[in-house]
Amino acid sequence: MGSWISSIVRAEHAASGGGLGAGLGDLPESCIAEVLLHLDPLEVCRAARLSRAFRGAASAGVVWETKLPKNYAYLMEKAMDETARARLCKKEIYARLCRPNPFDGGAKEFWLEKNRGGICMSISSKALLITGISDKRYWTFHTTEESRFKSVAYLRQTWWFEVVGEVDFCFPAGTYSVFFRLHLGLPSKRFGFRICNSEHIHGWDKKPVKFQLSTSNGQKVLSKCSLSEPGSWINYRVGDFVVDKCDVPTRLKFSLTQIDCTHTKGGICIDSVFIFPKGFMQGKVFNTSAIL
Amino acid sequence: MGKTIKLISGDGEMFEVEEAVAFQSNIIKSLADEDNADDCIPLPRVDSQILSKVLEFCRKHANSPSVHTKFAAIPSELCPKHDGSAAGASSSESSSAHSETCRACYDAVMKLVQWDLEFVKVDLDLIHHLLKAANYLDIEDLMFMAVEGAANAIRGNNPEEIRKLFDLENDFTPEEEKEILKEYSWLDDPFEP
Repeated sequence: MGSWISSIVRAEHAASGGGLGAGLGDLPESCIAEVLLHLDPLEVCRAARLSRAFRGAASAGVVWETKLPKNYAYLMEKAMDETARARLCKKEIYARLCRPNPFDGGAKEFWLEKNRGGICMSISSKALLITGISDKRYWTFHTTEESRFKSVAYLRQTWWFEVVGEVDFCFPAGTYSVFFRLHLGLPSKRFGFRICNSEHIHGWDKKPVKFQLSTSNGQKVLSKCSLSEPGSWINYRVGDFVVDKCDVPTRLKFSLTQIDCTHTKGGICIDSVFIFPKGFMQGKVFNTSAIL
Repeated sequence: MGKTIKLISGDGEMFEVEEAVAFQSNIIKSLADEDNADDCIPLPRVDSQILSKVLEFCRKHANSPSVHTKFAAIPSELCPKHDGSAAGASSSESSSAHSETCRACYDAVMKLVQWDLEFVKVDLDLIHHLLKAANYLDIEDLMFMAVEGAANAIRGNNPEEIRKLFDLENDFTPEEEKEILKEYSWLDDPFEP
């Protein structure tokens, strides 16, 4: 019952000289928006729930303009069609870009990391070139809830293990890390419990696998790692690349190979390749060693 | 003392300050520029406690480069190293000749920034009054520091705490609160493997 009375009291207070006791509620929305410029997106969203003035300021385009990546117009084009784009305000654009946005036929997705506004990307195993993938003696696709794409590629056995992928995208300027998401053994659910079929796991302890990353502007990373820890999804960090300008597309090529033909290897799931802003990590991460 | 300006706070107290100090406020500057017979500027929305804090800030900033100024744009007459030597020199020449890498200027600005940071580490109660005063009086540097201070106060506190700190009214209807939850439902993660 008090809210309209207190707003009258405040107005009188202000007219008669302000004084102590009148709070931030008296600030014009533009002033609150100035404060919100200094807060992270999630903090802005929380602040929207404080009062009507805060809610108004939290929707201001000027606040969200600074949170959006510089090339948000390009990202919007990738994420939605023209009619959808036209009616969104800056805050809605931010929210929309935070959702997984499929592109390149749907086997790749990008999304904005909610709190820092950096671009994250996932490239499904279906978008990767896997040597021998069509030979069902060696490779099969399995449905699983443990993958963003609900499907992973599973290897029983091969001599020639080679997984290659690429993506062409205008990343906002910054440094990014590339990961291969792998799992030794085949996970499944039986009677509600998670089990891991490890019968085909072999060969990974003989020699390390090699990772490669290269960009269209000449950055290169070559590294290796021995795959381990069956039963868990591991994000193997290949390395980093730097993007200087958001309006220039970066063509990224990455690969995972073990083509030493003295031994076979198998029992591995390939889920996807992740690209995250440097410093942002998800899940269990193993670093690889650079091959100089 | 150079030319002074008289300011009257909302609770009737009179403050007499140098022009350079008062003119940190663009509002006071434009009010003084108007033909003001008795040289007294009333500030009904700022009470004496806050006004004296604001003037303390302005006094510190009166003869220093703004914390926003790029070093190359700092006029020589404000540089501690060239203090006094620029008097009489043609102002535009000495301004453009002033080195971008002048260590004395860099140190002076850094010291000022440190002072500002200490200044805003005050009672939370004071921060929002400073913010309102800076906005009302249009004082750029104070606005900058008060905004940062207010943001720090909001960061990491839950809504009830923030409302208490800033004396905010929860003026939402239950329907509005439901709307807001829906409006920001995109914060919930769909999938994080």
